[in-house]
Amino acid sequence: MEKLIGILKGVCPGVDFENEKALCDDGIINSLDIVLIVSELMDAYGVEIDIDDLVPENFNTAEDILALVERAQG
Amino acid sequence: MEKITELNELKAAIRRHFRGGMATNFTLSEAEISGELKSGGLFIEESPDCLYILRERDGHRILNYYVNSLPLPPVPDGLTVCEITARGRENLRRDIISALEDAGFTPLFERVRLVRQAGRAEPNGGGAYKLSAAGESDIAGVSSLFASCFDRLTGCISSESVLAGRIAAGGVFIAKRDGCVAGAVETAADKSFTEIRHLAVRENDRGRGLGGELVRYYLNETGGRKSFVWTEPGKPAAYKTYVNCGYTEDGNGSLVLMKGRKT
Repeated sequence: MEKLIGILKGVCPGVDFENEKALCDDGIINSLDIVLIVSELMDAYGVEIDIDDLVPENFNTAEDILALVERAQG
Repeated sequence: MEKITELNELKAAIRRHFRGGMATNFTLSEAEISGELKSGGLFIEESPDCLYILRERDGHRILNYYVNSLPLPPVPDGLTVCEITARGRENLRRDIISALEDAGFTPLFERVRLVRQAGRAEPNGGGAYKLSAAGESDIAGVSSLFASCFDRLTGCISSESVLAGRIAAGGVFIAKRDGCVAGAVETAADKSFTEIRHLAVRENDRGRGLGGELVRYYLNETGGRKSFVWTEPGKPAAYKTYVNCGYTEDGNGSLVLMKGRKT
């Protein structure tokens, strides 16, 4: 989780990824942030994430994002 | 340029360029892409490491991209506007801006995003102006006001059909004087927040606090939900209006660039 939080803060500095529970639903990160986050995750974890996975439900919390990465890792 | 006629064609093109470390400024929702497809003005230009998505507007194009390596391939000729939004990743942002400048683009102005946390606002009543939600009969008046206040290339002015949809959804509020639209605020709602898309006051009615009154009216009418707005720091009157209504910068910013000559 620490590695993920570091990546997320690199893309969206100032966002409290450790505690926020509605990152998308509250507009804290937007759809462009999501694309850029995924770009970084694919690079950092060597995984492929499909554009159909870029939905708010996968990005509302750091735990949601980690789960997406883990699914991509198989 | 290749014309895109179906959503799946665009998705397939994006998938070919959707890689780790890419840079992009394109995130249209499927609903928005459907609107672009319906208008017949969606095109792509592809090279091995770059996908350009070009959206036709009245007399110009909007450029979106997926870039996997620099320098950029040539951008198709014609008047073209491009907006780069990013927070963090300053090096990448600088590289893309520099590459666009090499491709013939000139920076025009910056935008910043402001946020107002949830909380009621208290409008003062409007004084000589009658404030209300806009109705169908106000579409022409609001459209005309926005057309006179925002640049047709960079103002992101909503088409009448989009505006009609926002009015039907209860997201457009107006101030009238002598039966004419003197000011208007167009907003869009998401799950737990709203966003101001356009705020305009007729030239002769400026300097009387009407913009702020419209913002407070809209905040009140939408239940004081969290609100966002993109604005230009280079337009101090608008910026000050928002700050006086409780908005603060949230760290998001963008740069608008243009290539070609405006006629």
